[in-house]
Amino acid sequence: MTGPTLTEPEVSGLSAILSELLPSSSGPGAMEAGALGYVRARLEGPLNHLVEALRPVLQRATTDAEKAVAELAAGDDPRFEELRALAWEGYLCDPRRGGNRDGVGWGRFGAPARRKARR
Amino acid sequence: MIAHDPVDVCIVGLGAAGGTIASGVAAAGRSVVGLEAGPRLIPAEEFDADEVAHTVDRQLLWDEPEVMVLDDGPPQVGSWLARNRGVGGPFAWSGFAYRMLPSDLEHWPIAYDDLEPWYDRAEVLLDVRGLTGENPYDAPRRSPYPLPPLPRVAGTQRLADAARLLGWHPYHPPAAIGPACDRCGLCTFYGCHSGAKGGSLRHLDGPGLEVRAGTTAVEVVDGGGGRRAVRYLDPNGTAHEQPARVVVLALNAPYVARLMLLSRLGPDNDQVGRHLTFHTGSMAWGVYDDVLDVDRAPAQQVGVADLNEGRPAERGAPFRRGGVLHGGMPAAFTGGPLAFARALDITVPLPEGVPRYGDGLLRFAAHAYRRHQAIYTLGEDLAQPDNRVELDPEVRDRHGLPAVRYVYRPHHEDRTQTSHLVGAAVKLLQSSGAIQVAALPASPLPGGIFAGHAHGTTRMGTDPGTSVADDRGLVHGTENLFVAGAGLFVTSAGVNPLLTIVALALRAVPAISDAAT
Repeated sequence: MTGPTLTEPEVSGLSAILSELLPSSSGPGAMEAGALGYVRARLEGPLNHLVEALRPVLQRATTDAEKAVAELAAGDDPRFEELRALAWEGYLCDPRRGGNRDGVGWGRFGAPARRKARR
Repeated sequence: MIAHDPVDVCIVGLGAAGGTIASGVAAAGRSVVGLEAGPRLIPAEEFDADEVAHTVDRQLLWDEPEVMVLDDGPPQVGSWLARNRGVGGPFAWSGFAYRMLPSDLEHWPIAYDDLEPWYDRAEVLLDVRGLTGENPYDAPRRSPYPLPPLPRVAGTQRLADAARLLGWHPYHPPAAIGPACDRCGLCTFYGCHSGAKGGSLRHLDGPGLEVRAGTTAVEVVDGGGGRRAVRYLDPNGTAHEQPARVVVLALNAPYVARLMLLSRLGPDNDQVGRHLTFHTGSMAWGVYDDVLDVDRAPAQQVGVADLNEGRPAERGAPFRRGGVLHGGMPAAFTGGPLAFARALDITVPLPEGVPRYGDGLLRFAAHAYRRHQAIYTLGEDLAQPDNRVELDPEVRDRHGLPAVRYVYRPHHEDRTQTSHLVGAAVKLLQSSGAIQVAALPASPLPGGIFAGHAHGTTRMGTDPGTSVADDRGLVHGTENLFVAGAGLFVTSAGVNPLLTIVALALRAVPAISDAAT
């Protein structure tokens, strides 16, 4: 019942894309939040159906992530919005979901801790 | 096929309408079976604060294919209508609890006076808050609001002040938010962890009422001996048949129409499915210099109904029916930093000059999260006979039933009305000190964030030739088939529908009980 998984080069391409979308230039970005762990788990889990369409982008990003993202954004490619949404999720999700390490994304947004999170 | 013993009343759909009727009819001594396609939710487990579960995965809403044919365009498959799933809903709604205005009911078979006593009761059931007499365009009322208004978040008061300076009449929108609210702000799309958000959940338990959760009605058939019977599938896919003296169809409006079309029920007048209405909706939002924290409270902050007032055309507006502004809301429609960030550049337009990704976007989002507020508009969608629900010829749901197909064309006045409402929202944000303002193009399209409401398709009326049911939901030409919910609405009105759904359901209880005697 396991679906497609990402290869190691694809994972590093994904990591480069996340850093491009939410970089660490002026404060903690996707990298510091450990967004990659969350995004990878989503893609290899409930969003498995997206993997095949994303592969070419991830592979491309291993050599030039900046250009890969710029082209997706310029072309209004639906994969741009998918990847950006995943980056935000990895940055701001409940840390129990595998991203937003130590609440670093919440900290940067000044979001108060939500007491009713149970997951 | 498992055949069950007959009962007095079988209700399909246990949301706001069905749940209200189920408990009312059971309290009147009838034996009731309630069939609900959604699960029994366990608040301690599912009414949590996980943003991924509620705003990304939308765990409390249905995700079934529906087909939209918009403006004669190509059929588009999506989950167009935000529909709550679970026994005793709605859970995931915002809690706006408006009465319609007397002029909203002009083309209905009942007048405001017929409905008012039931509005009174519905407001008490739902713990509705408001400030009596504050909104000059509010419906007339003999009883005051049951509870005082919600206190505003400090940052939204400036909208009310600015509205007053513009000559408008800001008010506290009626809110079904009870005293237990702890202002967590994760409200719309979430179940309420403190049980404060009004719903029919609380009054579903009682003798004489058997709830069967996870059951999907597929057809209503002749049950023999003057009865009807509902055929349904249980969670394992096993077929059942439940006979009853009276059957009540209380699903979300398009799904009542679908079940009637699948079962070939209703008067032979080609009215089932027609006069589908949604609501017009758009938004504008502003970023300020200081912290507002609008997502530390429920959504009901500042209302403006000067463009609703029943008859805007009489005051020279180029549209017949208006709508309201709801200010002080989070831009993403619900609270939480993830919902906010994720909505940017998708359902929430970026202010000019903000990049679509990278450090510029991240810095903007982190700054704007606590310093913004939005104004959402909600307006009447004019009823048109050719806007309708049909059975899709190709797409099927997970049970193999034809998907709902919406054939929809917004009225040109709806577009004009929406751009007026959005224009007013922009003006209000600017006058209240917003530094950056952005607005959605005025588009009354259903879908995405706006399609929380569907009405019509089984309209009430006195003329059996042009309507489906009478004013208590009894389907014309029958003695024991009722419909309930917003499907009965003749028009959508420029306010949220829930209170009217509950008031109509309460009003129908005696007729349904009598029919089952």
